[in-house]
Amino acid sequence: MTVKALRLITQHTMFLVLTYGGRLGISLGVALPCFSCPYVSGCGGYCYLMALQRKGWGLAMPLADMVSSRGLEALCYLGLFALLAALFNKLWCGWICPFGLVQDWLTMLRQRLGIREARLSWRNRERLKPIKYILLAYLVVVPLLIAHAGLSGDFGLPFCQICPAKPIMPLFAGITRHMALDFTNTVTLVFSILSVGIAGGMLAGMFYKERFFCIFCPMLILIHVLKKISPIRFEKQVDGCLGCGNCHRMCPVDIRDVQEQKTKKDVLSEDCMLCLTCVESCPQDKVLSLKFLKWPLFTSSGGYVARHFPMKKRAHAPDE
Amino acid sequence: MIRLQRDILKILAAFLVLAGALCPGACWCGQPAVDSLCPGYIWIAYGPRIKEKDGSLTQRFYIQAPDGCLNEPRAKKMNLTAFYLSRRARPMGPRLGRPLAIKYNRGAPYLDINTGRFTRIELHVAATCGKQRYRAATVIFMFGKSGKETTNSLPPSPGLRPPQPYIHLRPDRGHYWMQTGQTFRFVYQGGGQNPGAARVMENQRTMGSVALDPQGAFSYIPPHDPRLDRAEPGAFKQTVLLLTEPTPQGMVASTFTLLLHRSRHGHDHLPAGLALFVLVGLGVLWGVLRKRKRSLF
Repeated sequence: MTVKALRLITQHTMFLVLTYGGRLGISLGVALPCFSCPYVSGCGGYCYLMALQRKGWGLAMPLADMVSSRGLEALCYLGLFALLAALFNKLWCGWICPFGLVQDWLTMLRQRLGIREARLSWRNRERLKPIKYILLAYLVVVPLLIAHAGLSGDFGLPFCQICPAKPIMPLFAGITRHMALDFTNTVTLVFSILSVGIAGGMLAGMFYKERFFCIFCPMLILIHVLKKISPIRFEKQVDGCLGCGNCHRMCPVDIRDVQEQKTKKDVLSEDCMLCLTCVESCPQDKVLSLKFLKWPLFTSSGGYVARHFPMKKRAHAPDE
Repeated sequence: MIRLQRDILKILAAFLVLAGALCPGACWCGQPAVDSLCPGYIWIAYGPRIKEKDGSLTQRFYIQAPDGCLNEPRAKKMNLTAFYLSRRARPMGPRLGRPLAIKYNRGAPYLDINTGRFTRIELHVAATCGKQRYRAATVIFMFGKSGKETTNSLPPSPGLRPPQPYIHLRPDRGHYWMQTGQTFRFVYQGGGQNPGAARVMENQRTMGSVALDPQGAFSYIPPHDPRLDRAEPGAFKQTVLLLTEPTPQGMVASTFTLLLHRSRHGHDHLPAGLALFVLVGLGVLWGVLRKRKRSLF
């Protein structure tokens, strides 16, 4: 079995658990480091970004509540998130995130239809990178303004209000109401227009570009912060690398740090989602490896490439 | 001239002070204090909700009569009693009845209910005044987080049932957050054959009426309120449903208080949202195709 197949099986299993698990009594809590959307009724766990923005569990909590048992509860959720994010690190993105799988489905559909992927130049990608920091700042600052500066509660859950997962993911549970425009008042109307518009544009973007939303995902930053204490390591033996560039060409998010790294062992970059496509496609033995502490989980090997990427297929790999 | 004006003001002030001192004992809502003169009805009004440090919640309820004249001596004379039926909502627990002690704050009667769990509370208040009987009820869901059942009420008393007749709200999943536009189904339990219509009131003003069927059942759909829609998502208003029924034993006045929030999905427009979603999606698809075509030439 290839790593890609194993990843697909894991992704689909986790999609079922996180989207429908609640109906079977599964509850993985409110601190999951992936886009398990709480707007899906009957989901198996909540994305931590929601808890982070909420009045009862996160930053929108008034000061008086912070020193009570509610504050302790919020701290427990933060701790649980940190633990989970550190334990599996970016595996959450590449192997577990249900919204990531939806993006992969769109990519599979595009490939089936024979439509060429849209290429983002490195310069454009670098230009888009700060958006996720802006989104992170937005989801941190607005709840604080609600709690301490009297901003209207209609601005509550500011990131969820514009997150494309909010209208799209509930569709898998047969819920269409998050696709509606909310005419309650001006604020709700503006947010619903943004939400539905962003979801429509993002869906088309995800069709053309593999893992397009991951470029903007603020969760990636939060998980990446915990890289240093994570037992999951993605390493490169720089001496053994021939610089063939397979890792860069095969990467769904066009990361070139793995190829370009010439000194440091650690090659887990901010945008990496540990899908291990680069490790699978590396023809050099033990140059790239995914490790749990010091124990290798999967390492690159010429034999693996020869078995799973025969020459005929490799000849058709897209050129730089 | 100025001195004359001052004298008039002094006399007026003295009269007002005297009238104020005499009124609580002498008047019932501006009328002479004769035992046969009783309030038309009583209702439960929601007070502040206090988040306790241990994670539990305390909800305060005031017992009120028209024109706010229900004071401590009157309340004691009317033999006010209160109790609540609580049921843990998740996981579903047994229905427990607990009597409540009526407290007074500057003469105004109030009740406090504390819970540390996600609980459905059904509060009942009963009183009598001469031949008149009064019933007031309300239902609220409380989201306590301490895990303790309750801290400030008396121990459960098995077999506690609301004195009939009373207005009963049929339980529904959506009642944990009552909203305008939602359908509320009531039954006038233990009432006579022809109770007439229920009056819908807000701030003691009649807003409309709802007819009862012969079985005493009726439905009420509170209309959307633009003031609530413009306010905070957690803002609420109180609507009181009043049923008065003449019986051979005297008049019975029953009320039910609804705590209403703005509608969450009542203003949603799905076709407009879907149209926007499809338009933006198609716009992006068309934009990419156009860029690709241009790059060919």
